[in-house]
Amino acid sequence: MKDVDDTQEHWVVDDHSDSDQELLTAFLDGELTAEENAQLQQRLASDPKLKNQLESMRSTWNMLDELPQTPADIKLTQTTMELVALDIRTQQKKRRTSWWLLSLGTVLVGVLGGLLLANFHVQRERNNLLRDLPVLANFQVFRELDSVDILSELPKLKNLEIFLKESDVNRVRVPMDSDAREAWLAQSTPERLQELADVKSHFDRLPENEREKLRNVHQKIAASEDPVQTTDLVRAYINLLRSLTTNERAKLLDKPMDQRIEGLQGVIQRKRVANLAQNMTDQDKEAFRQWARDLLWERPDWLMVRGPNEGLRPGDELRIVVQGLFRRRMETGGSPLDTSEINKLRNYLSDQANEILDDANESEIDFTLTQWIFAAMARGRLKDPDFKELADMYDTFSDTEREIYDWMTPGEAKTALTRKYRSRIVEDGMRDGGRRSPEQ
Amino acid sequence: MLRVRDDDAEAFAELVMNYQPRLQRILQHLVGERDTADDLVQDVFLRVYRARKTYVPGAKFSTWIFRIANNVASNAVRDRSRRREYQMVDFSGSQQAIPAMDQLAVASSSAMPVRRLEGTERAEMVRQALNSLSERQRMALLLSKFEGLSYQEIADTMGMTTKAVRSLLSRSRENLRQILQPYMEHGAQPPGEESGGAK
Repeated sequence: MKDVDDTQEHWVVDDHSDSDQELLTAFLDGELTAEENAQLQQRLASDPKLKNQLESMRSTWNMLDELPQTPADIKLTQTTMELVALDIRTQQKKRRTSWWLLSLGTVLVGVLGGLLLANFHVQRERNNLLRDLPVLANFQVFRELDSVDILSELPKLKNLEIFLKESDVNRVRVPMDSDAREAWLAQSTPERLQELADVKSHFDRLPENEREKLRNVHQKIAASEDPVQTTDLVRAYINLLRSLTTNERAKLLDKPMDQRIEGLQGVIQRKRVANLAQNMTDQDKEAFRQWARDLLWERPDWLMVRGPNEGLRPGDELRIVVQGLFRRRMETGGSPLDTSEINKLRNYLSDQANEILDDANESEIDFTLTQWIFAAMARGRLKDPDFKELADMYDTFSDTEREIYDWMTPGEAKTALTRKYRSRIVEDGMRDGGRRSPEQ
Repeated sequence: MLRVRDDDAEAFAELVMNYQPRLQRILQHLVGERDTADDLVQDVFLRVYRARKTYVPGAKFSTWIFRIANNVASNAVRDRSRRREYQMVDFSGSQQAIPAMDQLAVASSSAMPVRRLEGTERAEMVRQALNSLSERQRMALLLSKFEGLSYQEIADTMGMTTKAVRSLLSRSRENLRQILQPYMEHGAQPPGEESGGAK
């Protein structure tokens, strides 16, 4: 299909077919003036070609009626209303907090007069703080936990820890032992104390049953075999939930526990697949290329459809195999990869990749490998360590620029990129006012 | 909408029920996945609610809400394309959009045998053809076809001139026609599927 410039505002008047097309579109959309309408009717009566074009456009338009209707979704309406209600409550709370801060300022002035009373109050607050410290340190995470029951199920989830973020791993951990908390608090920086005070102020405003629920979460974690690890799992679980859309999350949480665990395991598996695609090792990239070369020996017909003049150029193997897989899927309507091909590919792949495939069910294997093939195809070029600078430069290009090099053989691409690289150095040198010579 | 502006919750519920399926249909065709579309629908209503006080009586409400939907969808598509360094293809579900052009190109080949299209297959073919249009072409087309918006209203919704809308709609209809022409003429579909269990 031709590339279309959507921002184009003027239609080409001297191009009859384009202007007729616009005229017919406006006619079908009922947007012509009475005069234009009459003129067009006259032309249609005497020009069968134009009439055919109109009918063809009308038929295409009618084909859009084939698109399925979207039925009313009561549940979505309900969640939308809840979402809006929640938004209103949050806004109101914010307004109340500002009022509360103002009141607090007034109250504080009064408190200065009763220092003794305040001292007692501070001591009580400090005891509460020590007790709730682990809850406060994980406040946001615990609040998002949908049920306490899930805690005992989390260890069943294999590889859940891949959802841990760097900030989770490097976070400051509050001692589980209550006696050690006093010393921990004494050594804390003023910034950390301020942060805790802010969280505590939020925590204290919660209804009592909410606060109790959060304390229960901590008690259950503290009673587990490895409380530190369980806290990490809770954090990973919340990160996993945050990675889902609102609806995916709602659907998952609606399920009974065993099905929910199954669903969560599926999400973890998808994340592992995506992680490998994003950080594919050279071994796996080479595995896909080698496999593609083998496959093309067995399927010379896939090479033939490229046309006699195109032939096979080095580096094209994966691209041709992907095109072949597309065609096969259309021919069979089923899986693009057959079992023997999957087995061959697995022989080449790294242990890490095979481990992910071992955990996948049959239908997932197909999907997983397809994703990786695409990733290998997209990332396989110019990763030769001898040409690191060229590859880095290639990474800065736009998709359009890259496309120029993608269709070259690797040798041609390297020559062209080297030329581009040199000209960039010269340009940089000129921009720097000759401070740097092109050879540098 | 005036009742919504005056904080009438019941009126807002009515508004959600009335516009939700329409927004769902448009947004699903714009972003591809049902779940993402549902999230965006909720985002649109949230924005409508937050901005209710700025609604000016006299302005057509449908134009206003579809303008918000257009912005929300554009942002989502832009964010998504920023996040994706490369595209992944899902062969397993019916929601894939990426292979569409590849499949359509092969399907258009005159060398392939043909068979009559079934209703659901025809719908899928139309969906894929629609997905191959640019986001703006799709939006204009959907507003015109399913919402019956005039060129002036589409222009207001999408921030364009009516002349640009006329041109945009003309090109989108023509692109659609070019893709669907073989199926309209022969009632054919991606022919290879015949060997995969045609009735």
